[in-house]
Amino acid sequence: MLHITDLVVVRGSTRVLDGVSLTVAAGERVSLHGPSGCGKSTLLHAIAGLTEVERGAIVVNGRDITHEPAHLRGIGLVFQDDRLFPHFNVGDNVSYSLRVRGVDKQQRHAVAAAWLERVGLTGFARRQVDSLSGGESKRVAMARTLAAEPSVVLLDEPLSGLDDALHATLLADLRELFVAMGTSVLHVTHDRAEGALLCDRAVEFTRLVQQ
Amino acid sequence: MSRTVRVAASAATMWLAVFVVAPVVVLLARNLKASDFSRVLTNDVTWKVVWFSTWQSILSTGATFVLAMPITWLIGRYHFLGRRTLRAVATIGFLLPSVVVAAAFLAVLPRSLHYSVFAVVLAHAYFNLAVVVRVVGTRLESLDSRLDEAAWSLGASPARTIATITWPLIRGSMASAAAVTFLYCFTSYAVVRVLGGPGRNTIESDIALRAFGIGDVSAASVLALVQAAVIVGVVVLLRRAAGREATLLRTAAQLAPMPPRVRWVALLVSLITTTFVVTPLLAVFWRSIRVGDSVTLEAWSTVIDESLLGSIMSSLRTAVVTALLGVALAGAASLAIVRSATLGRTLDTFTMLPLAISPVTLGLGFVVTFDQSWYDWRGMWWFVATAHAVVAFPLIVRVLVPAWRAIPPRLSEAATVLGAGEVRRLIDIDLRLLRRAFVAGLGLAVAVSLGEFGAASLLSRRGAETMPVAIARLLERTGDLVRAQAFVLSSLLIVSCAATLFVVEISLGRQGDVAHH
Repeated sequence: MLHITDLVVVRGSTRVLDGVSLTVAAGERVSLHGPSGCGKSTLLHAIAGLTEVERGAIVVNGRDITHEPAHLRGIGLVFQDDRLFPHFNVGDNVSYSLRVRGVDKQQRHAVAAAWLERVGLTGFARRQVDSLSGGESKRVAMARTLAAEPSVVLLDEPLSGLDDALHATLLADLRELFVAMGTSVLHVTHDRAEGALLCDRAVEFTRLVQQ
Repeated sequence: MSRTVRVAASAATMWLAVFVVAPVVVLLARNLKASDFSRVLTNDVTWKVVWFSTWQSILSTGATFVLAMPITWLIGRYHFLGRRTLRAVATIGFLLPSVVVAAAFLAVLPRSLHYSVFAVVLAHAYFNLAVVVRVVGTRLESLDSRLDEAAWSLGASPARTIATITWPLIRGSMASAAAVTFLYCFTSYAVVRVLGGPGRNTIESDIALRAFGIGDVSAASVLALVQAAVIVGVVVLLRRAAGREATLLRTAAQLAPMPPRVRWVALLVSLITTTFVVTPLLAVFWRSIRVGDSVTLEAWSTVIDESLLGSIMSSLRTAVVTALLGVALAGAASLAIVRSATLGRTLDTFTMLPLAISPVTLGLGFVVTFDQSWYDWRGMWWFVATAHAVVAFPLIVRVLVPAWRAIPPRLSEAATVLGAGEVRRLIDIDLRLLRRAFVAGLGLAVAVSLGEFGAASLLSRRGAETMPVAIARLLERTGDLVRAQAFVLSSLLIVSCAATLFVVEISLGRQGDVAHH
């Protein structure tokens, strides 16, 4: 469960987030809508620990992680721009979080193969990331985040920039994946239809949130 | 291939054949016998020189990285006020003539540290700071800091992120920078000659010593071959390292703003680097007005009436001839490279040849080949300039070729359908649009010529020596006024090189604008 109370993020002299409160129940999938530049991505970055928080609290499964370093939070973030590591192949990208935890090579390969299969990329482990198409890159980014077994998954417009057909296929696959896993998801998008298909509940990122 | 391109290609090829290939071939063919190899290579002195060249280069490379990495990291990772200025400051050393850097460390170091390995290593680090800042810094800049965020979100600590993400992505550039620095230190001449003191010789300075001090040109030729073998070996390694890295990054760069906790470290690093770069230069100016215990303009006043004026005029004349000769020939070579697909590629590689030949080897080759009784070119006023044009040639080609390639072919096509012939198009379109690149090429040639020491020290004749050669000679003599005169010449070189390279930088910036429109 993710519980955010009265979150304030300041950049320079601007309050980018001004008292945001939000709860995502265990296993719930929430989509967050709002116009560009309203602070949706900043909220995700603040939860993930990539942006410093001025005030407020972020609690995950009863643990206050507001001031914990990003790498200890156990929160998964799928970036809008994928951010695959260019010097690793697909398999090593997917199993990176296991490598960080000191898991041995053999087990890493097995986990990477299993996740690649779940996202529909069986046999892609040894491919170089610069040989992937846009849709394949997004699947790899998703597998990489999920392989870390995060307690909450944050999705920052993960399907932007794809053509309609690919967008629909990936969306259906993702929904199936998240329903099967039962993970809490906070999904940021400006596409209401996408939010409605993927999530149980939609929240408008307006004064309703910024209480 | 058109006639104009053929003429240009022939001119460039002739030039390289006569002034690059011939001197080396004549030097080796005339002086090298099989017995010389065993004589030189079994000699203890040779191995002492090779060993000194190697270990001081390794030490200098290490010192360069220790001094350069903090500032490189700041410049390559963070966006902050004064970043560009700091980057410019960090690259000053590389733009100065090596003999001036050596003089600057004589000026700034206490007497007890003159003529020591410490002084040599420090001067090498000063000179090569820019190599690391430019090569590794540029790589770091192009490395997307958002990859770090991705690693953190996957559970990697900052230290772990550096080890698994940053380091693998920059180690190739660090290897390149280390290799280039090593080569500069390994073939160092002016710094070792001025700061090293007696008994300390690199292969490069030993070549000069054996050929001109002892008159053993055969031994010098063997040493030149040994040095060339090391250069080629390191360059091969360098290319392999660079080749592996080139394909890695496709992501757009984004510099992160500087986090508050880094600010104090950044300030400290900037202060230390700026002090390290600027203090020796200020010391040069200071020592030029300090004769004995008094502050006086005595040394400056000798500029207009004594031999100093001779060396200044000689340097200026050489620089002008170098610039005209170098730019004309590099222009011809560039035209052939850009306009002829087949010949161009061969010529492109061929033009890099002078980079593989050390200045002292080139100077020695010039003396052996052209100092003949029936055509004594050595006494000619253009002789040193010719050697300098050889040294500057590949650098000018590197400036002209990319600028030329950036001109859209549609402009020439438009001129063709309007009735312009090939020469007309060359003058009206290419040369007009390349004006700034040519100015940059001229400036580069002037800067190379003003600072070049290795070849000039062997080729210039007494009374007509260039400023760097005069500086080295004055620093070898005793007497406060004489030393102050060396610092006067060094001050003049600092100012003129800075001014020239400023023109180059501005011209290249504007040339970039032309290419983009």
